[in-house]
Amino acid sequence: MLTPDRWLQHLEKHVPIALEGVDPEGIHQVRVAGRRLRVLMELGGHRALVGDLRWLVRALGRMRDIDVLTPLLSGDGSPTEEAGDDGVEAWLAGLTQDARLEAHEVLTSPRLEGLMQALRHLPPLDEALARRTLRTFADRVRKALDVAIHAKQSPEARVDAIHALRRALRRLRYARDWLDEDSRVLKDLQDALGAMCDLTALSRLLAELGIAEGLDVSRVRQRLDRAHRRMSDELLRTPAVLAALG
Amino acid sequence: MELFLIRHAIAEPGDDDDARALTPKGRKRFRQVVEALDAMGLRFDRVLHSPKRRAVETAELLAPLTDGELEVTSLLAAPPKEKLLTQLRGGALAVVGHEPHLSTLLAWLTVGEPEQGRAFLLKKGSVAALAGEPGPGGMQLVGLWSPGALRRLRG
Repeated sequence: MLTPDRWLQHLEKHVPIALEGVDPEGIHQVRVAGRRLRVLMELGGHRALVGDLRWLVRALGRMRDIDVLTPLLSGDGSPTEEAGDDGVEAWLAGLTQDARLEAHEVLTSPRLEGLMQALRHLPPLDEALARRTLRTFADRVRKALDVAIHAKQSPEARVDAIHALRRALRRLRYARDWLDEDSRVLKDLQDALGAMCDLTALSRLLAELGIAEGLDVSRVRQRLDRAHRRMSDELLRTPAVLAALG
Repeated sequence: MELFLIRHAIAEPGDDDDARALTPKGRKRFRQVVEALDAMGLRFDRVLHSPKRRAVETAELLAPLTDGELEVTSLLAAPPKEKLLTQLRGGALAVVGHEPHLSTLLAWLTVGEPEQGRAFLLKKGSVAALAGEPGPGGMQLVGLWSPGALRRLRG
């Protein structure tokens, strides 16, 4: 029987941790639960609550980006060494404060309260329908892969295509998890794509830093972009991507 | 803006008010209401709905008339407050909720006095259409249709 119970409990458990703002896992796990629950709703053919779950994940995205990148930007040997660390700490503290306020608003909103209330009373989903819908998740990965392979000319298009491929793979993986199907290969691929997406997020945050602090971060960004290109070339050549689709 | 206050369709009885589902008859009749609204050419930018199961299921039935998102809020499971008014935005918004809160909201938005809500009767599956600015006394009631009347209007 397909019910949201497990991931709803995960969501309810991590909202207070996210609100406390001490452990970055709080925000991360709220977003993970939001994504998994959204896939469940889509497997069941629902439109209600899908947009609310999408909103929850997106609205906490900025805070998550900052949580991920803070150790990279503030630790020894970070990619910002060449740019110089003057002002970086203060800039990060300001960003964190703004993102924390936004996250607090989301986590205490009537929309999230209503979302959790509604999910508690969601009836079990039709498993046969969910298995039929699973095919559309695999089709989306195939399309995203095709776009990624043919997006080599433009760096921006490639970054977007890799993001879209990662999202499609993640959603297929979550859909398979809901239906108790093997998703280990998808997890490995998703992790590899995740590392690339972290490079992109870091590069974009560095661009913001450069503008805010009047720093030249172009060399660091070029290095990050080259690393991204190298990783995506290697990944898109691997047969594991196609094999994962079954 | 255009605002449509819609009471949920007929639901099963039950001790857990949040968990009451629509009955097969309630679903069937509300689908006919949706057909009537469609025949009238109504489209919504957004649907705001209560988290109670019967409202979620009613909102889902309205999805074919909705270009934008369905959005849940706990504010519609309680008597209307100022904060709910701030959520009433967009060109054509449908709000799916419960009585007596919807009638209270209707009175607040039209005559500026929430306590006058008892002057309005919203049967299950009814639709009230308002136009104007979504603040106290800022809107006019331009239509109030029972589900039976809407079913007869179907094209």
